[in-house]
Amino acid sequence: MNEEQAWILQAQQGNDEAFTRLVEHYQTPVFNLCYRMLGEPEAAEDAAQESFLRAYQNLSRYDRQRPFATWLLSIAAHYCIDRLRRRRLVIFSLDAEREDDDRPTELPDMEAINPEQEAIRREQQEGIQEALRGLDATDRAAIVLRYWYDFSEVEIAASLNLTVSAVKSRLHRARKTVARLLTAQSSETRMERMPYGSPAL
Amino acid sequence: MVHQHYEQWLLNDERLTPEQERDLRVHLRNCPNCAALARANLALRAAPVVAPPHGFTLRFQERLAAQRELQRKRSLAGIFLLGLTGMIALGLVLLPFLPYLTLGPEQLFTMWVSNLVYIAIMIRMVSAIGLTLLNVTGAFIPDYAWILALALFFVLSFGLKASARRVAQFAKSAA
Repeated sequence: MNEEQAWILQAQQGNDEAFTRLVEHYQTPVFNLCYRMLGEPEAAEDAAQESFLRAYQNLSRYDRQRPFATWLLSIAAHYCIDRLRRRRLVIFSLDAEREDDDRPTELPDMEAINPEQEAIRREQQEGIQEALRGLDATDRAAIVLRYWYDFSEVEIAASLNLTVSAVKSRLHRARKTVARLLTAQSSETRMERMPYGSPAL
Repeated sequence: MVHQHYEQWLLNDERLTPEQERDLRVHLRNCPNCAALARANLALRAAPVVAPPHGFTLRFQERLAAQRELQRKRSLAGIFLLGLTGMIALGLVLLPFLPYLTLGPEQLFTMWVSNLVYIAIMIRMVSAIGLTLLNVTGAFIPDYAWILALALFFVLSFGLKASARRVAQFAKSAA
């Protein structure tokens, strides 16, 4: 039995300290998933906390044959999907009303070796986040699990309660959408940088 | 090779041989759609993992404690509500007896004695009526009817006893 399995066992027996160790260990993957799904740091923090709370409450139902990370990320993904759907249903105009100022702004990293490269990296990250926002909640979850957690199609299917063929088609569609949105963004950026330039030049 | 073939490679995120990679690179120079797909794949692969702000675990512990407190309050409210409902139900049941609480001890004693006397009179009356009815009906029923009734009673009780024994035997054999 490895350290993680021991923590899980102890947490299942009601040891809060063991569960705290699990939280410490998995806080970054869970937070990252929530951030990639919801796009806002505050919402991601809240969703990650809620996901851990749900995991804590349902720990007795966790099957130890299954990897804990998959189970935990599955809880977080389902929670974020529900949250996105609710947000779309209840206040569907929120995205349209959101100003650019509300977007998460990362402070420039003073320790970065090349500030210009850092700025480009930040721009790319914001671009990816914007492209993810253009995806359906389940497609977004599939893409996040695939690219950030290297989940196989079978694992994604198990995590999101989908069939493998559904995951495949969702990933195809999502990749095409992300490619289209990123291309549109880069052409917009080019136009912003050269507002009066003609393509011929 | 046709465009769709390369697109499938990109969409399926397949592992390619060096030769296939070379072919794909040539195709990407001429196909903007596939180039966009390849760029998207690279951008997604290069995206970093975002860490939560410092103190996440501490905030989780606080949230867990708050959740527990909320659950404790809810369960306490539930117990209080259950108790209150029980008290109301008990009050409703005891409502007809409430007037007795206002009576003095001698009044209660008189009431209980009069109740006992009433019950005794009732028992006596019922027994007297029963005896009279028995005497009257006994005169009307002939002797052979009594004998038949007794015989029927005997046969029925014997039959019931026999069937009970059979059932017990069957149960024992089944076990």
